[in-house]
Formats: sequence, C-alpha cells, structure tokens
Amino acid sequence: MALKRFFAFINRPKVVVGLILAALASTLVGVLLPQTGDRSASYFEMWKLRSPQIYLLANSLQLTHVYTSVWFAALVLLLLLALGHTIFAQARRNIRMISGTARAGAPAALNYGGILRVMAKKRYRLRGYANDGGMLVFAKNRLGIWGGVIFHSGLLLIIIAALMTAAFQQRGFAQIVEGETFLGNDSGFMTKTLGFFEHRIDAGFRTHLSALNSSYQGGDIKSLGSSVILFKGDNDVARDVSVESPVDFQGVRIYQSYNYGYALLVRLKDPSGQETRKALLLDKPDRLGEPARGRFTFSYTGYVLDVDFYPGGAKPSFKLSLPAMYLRVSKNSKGLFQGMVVPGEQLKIGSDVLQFVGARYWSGLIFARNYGADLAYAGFLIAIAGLLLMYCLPYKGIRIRQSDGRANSVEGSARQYPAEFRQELEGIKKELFEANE
Amino acid sequence: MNNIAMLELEVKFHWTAVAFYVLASVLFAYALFFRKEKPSWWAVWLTAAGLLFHSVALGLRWRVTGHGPYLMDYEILSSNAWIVIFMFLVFALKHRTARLAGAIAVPLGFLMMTVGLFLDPAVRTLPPTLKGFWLIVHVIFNFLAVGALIIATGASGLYLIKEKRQDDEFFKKLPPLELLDSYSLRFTGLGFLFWSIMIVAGAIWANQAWGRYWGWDPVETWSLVTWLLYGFYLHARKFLGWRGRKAAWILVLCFALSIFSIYLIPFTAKSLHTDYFQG
Repeated sequence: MALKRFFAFINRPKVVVGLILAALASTLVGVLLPQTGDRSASYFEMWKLRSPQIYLLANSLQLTHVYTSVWFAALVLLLLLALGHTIFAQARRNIRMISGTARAGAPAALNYGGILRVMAKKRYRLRGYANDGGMLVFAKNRLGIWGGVIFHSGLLLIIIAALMTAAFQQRGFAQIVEGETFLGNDSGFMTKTLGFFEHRIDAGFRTHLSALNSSYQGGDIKSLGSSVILFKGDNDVARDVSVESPVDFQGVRIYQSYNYGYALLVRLKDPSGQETRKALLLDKPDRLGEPARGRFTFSYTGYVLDVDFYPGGAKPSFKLSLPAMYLRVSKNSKGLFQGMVVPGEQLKIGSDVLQFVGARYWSGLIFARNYGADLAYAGFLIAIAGLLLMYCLPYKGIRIRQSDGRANSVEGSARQYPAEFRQELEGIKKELFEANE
Repeated sequence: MNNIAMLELEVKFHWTAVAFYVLASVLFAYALFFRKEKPSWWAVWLTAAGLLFHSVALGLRWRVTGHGPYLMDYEILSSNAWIVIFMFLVFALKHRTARLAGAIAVPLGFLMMTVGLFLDPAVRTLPPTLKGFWLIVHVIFNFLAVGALIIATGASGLYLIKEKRQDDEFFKKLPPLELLDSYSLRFTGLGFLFWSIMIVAGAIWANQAWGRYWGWDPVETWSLVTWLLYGFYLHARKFLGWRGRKAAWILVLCFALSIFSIYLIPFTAKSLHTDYFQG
C-alpha cells in the first residue's frame, strides 16, 4: 500500500517535472562549481584558506564532488524508480488502448462507400468497429504510441549502465618510454579512475612500446599511434594502437591517448663511480617551435635540472631529428651549469659527471575495462528509436459514425501537436462530407 | 585555381552572403513593423540567394581544408548559420504564412556568420581524434538541432508578437496563435531528438577515442544541461499543460540559456573538446 502511494506520488506530473529540474540544477552545480575530479588538491586548499566558511558549506553539502555525492545518488535512484514506473504505466495504458472497445476488422456485409477511400488517401488504417459497424475506428502511426515506453526504457538502460560504470570501471593511464616494457601492475599507472567497488587495476599482461608513430602537417598533428608488443605468458602479439583505433587484448581495451612527449635519458656518475640513471619525461610542447619544458631533481644529490628541450635542434620540429637541450643545473639556488647539451655530451657538475645519453619518445596509453559500455550503447539505440517514434510517428485516432457508407460525424484525438491535428481533422471532415454527396 | 585563390574567393562569397542576409533582415523587419506583405517575400528570395553564395563559400573551404566546416570557430559559426538559414527557408516555403519567422532566424544566422568572419580563418588539419563516422554524425546532428531550436524559438517569438497585436489586419495573416504554438512544440521536439542523437554520437565517439563514453567534461555537461532544459519544456507542456504565452516565454528562456552550451562553453572552457574549437 505504501509502495503504491509512493509510486503514485513520484509519477505525479509536478513531481516528474520537479525531478527533471533537480537533475538540471545538480548538473549546473557540477559544471559551475570546482569539482575535485577536475582540480588539484592544492586548489581546494587555497579555497579553504581564502574563504573557509564558503568552502565548509560547499564541502559539507558535497557540492565539490556532485557526481559522487550521496544526494546525487539519491536523485539518480528516484529517477530510476520514476522511469521504471512510467514505463510500466505507459505500457499498460497502450495495451488497454489497443485492445479497447472496438472489435477488430469490420463487418464485411456493410458498405462503407467513400469513407475507406478518403481515409486510405490520408494513410489511416481501419482498426476496428463498434455498434455493429455504426462506428468505425481509424488510426495512423499506431506504432508511435510505443515511442514513450521505448524512449524511457532506453533512458533506464543508460542510467543502469552509468551506475555499472561508476561501480566497476577500471581505467588507468600509463606513460611508457620507447624500448621499455610496462608491467601492467596497479602501481605502474600514473593516474587511475576506478569504480566504487574497485581498488586497483591490473592489466594482466605486459606491454612493450616498440615505437611511437606520429606525423604532422604544418604545426598540427595528423596521425598518432604506438607500435606495441603485448605479452601474456609465453605468447606475444604485436599490435598498432592509434587514436582512432583502440586494441582489445585479454579483456582490456588499450587506447592511444593524446598525451605523448619526450624521454631524455641522463646518467649521473659520482666520484666513486656509482651511477644513477633517470628518464626526464617531458610533455610535447603545445606549438611547433616551442621547446618542451620541465624541471627535475636528483633528490639525494639536491641537483635541480631545468630543461628546455628542442627535438629538432635548430629547426622547429616535433620529430627527434637533431635533439638538443638547453640545460640549467642548480643546487641550493646556486647555478652550477647553463648551456646547450647534445646527446652523448658529458658535463662536470661539481664533483659529479652528468651525461645526456639520448632522447626517445614516450607514449601515453590508456588501459580500460568498462563493463557498462555495451549496455549504454543498447540504451542509446533504444532511446533514439523511441524518440524517432514519438516525433516522426505521432499517433492519431479518428472515429467515424456512419450509416449506409455515409459519414455522419467525425471526431479524433492525437497524442502530439493537437492544433495541427485539428486542422488535419477539418480537412478530413470536409472530404468525407463531400464524398457523401 | 590554387588554394590561396580559393580561400580568397571563399571570403568574398561569405561576405556577399552576409550582404544578402543583411538586406533580407532589413526587409523582414520592415515587413513586420510596417505590416507589408510583399517585402517579406523579397526577403525570402534574398535569403535564398544569400544561401547560394554561402553554400559556395563553404564548399570552397571544404575543398581547401579537406574536411567539413566543423573545426575552429570560423567554420563552426558559418556552418551553424547555414543550417539555421536552410531550415528556415524549408519551413518558410512549406508554411508560407510563417515566413516572418525570418525576422528572427535570418538576423541570428548572419550575426553568427559575421562574428565567425572576424575570427581566425587559418586552415587546420583534422586531428586524429576528429576523424571517423561518429564525428560526422555528431556534427551533423548538432547543426540540425541548433537549426530546429532556433526555428522553434522564432515561432515562439512570432507567437508573442502576434498575441499582442491580434486585432491587427497584418498580423492576422500570420498562422493562428494555436498553430504557432504547435510549431514551437514540433520544432522543439525535433531539436530534442537531434540533440539526443548528437549526445549519443558524441558518447560513442568519446568511448572510441578516449575509453569513456561520459566524463562530465564541461562541454559534455553543458550539452546535458541543454538536453534537460528542453526535456523540462516538453514535459511541462505535456504534463503541466503549459502552452501559449507561458510556453513561449519558457522556450525563449531555454534558448537563451542554451546559448552557453552551444556557443560560449566550447570556445572558453578548458576541456578535452576545446583543443579543437579554440585552436
């Protein structure tokens, strides 16, 4: 009984419209206020320092992480319940309408004269009759009555898919240097997006990056991809992952991200002969001709390296043709070295020797398991099919009282666009009464 | 003809189209305010002529760039304007009495185009993530949705104008108020359908390119806001019985708010999408 009352409540027109407005308002909040997924932790620290009360209010109301908040989850649940009940109620109404009071077909003995001709011209089909043929029931676009049910079913599937994704997705971003192998362990991913019930992502196989393949036209990238070798046990498979063509392997989909750059391999040797190797990872510059910039430290030594890297040397290029870096080395704010360095060159830094071994590309690959994607696709298809039915095949029904094949009265109803339907109905009446004559 | 010559010709054709649209807008406004019928027909034909020049301009641009006009603000604003004007012409020729909606649709169209013409016309290569079938579907339905929603807003605007001047002989020639109200609903429904297809195509494309079909990206989220706005309008009409003046004002407000997601956010917000829009 309580359940019935609850569903009757959430299906009230004002409540349905209210839920849509609530979804709209929450989406607006999520896009207007800074969200924890989009900004760094330091941004929120600064906000807390500058406006502690506003921050406290926003944080306690979970406005800084709308899409993972309790109230948003509750709203989604309400929407799911409302959708489910709407689908049920609409389907029940449609079935009642189709079965109706009219008997199917029409009594063969009666003559309908021009009525059927006129209605056929307007693409109305005879659906049934009542009063022993005294009333004829015509309908157009009967399939369209299912549009609402199908559309809302699609939406329901999409929301369920989104919940599955939110709960179980695993998505990790890895930076892999050419010639190196990524083990696929959780700790190796640079960033991860995990569902509520997931705590780690393990690819389950190793990925060796043979080469990053890119081409440019002017200063714009034309194509981007990675040649990889995927290892599982004793098997290895060579594949090409590109921006428009992800690769599936062992239940994981590998995407070529748009992030790539340069790995500068350096070696620091101390007087005792102990070597430390490091790969300085730089993002590719935004524009052709600009250097790739970065700052790095050799932590136990206190050296700070400021790097401006030119992949093409003298000419503006993204290609590693004549790599050179402009290097500034400092320690405790004291400059130790400043100048251009080419691969192979060695520098004396204090009592240590720093060598620029060489440069390679690194490629950003995304490893993902998304369990909700197929269901979401099904939901998309179904929702669009529903909308097409609703707006391209709006249901119209016409009832004609007749005697001896002469139309006496005509009335009708339409689910959509009543004003346009009334015009159409007037036109049909005119033709039927002319046919009577 | 080499590419530079074609691009120069393209700019000339664009400005010629703008000139025709400006003339048409003036005539529409004249017809509306001074209640003259003939100038509104001249305006329709001038708009059609402008659209011809506009089509040639976009065709030349397509030929030079090797991709459709959907990269960079310059191209997007021009192609959006094209679709608005094209949809208005189809609507005006089919429903002759509603041609005065051009007083809203054509100025909106030429304003979009003119803003675009002052922006950077540099030719850009299509980035790898912008290649593919779903991109084409996404862009086409974005344009169709914008066009349909602008027509719907134009019909609502006409409704509001006519409602205040119902006894005026000139405005009696416009479609009946009930019909204008119905056109608003019909084109909003179409716009909602096209917008939904656009979002779906974008989600599929995003999943293929980035491994997730929805990431609460600002451009994605604003498109959802627009979808919910029009969803609210359609539900309010069906379930709360809103029609006439109330519905017309709500639609105009919905359109004003959706300007953010259509024209402002893609060009200002930091997002995966905006690398391409912002150049």
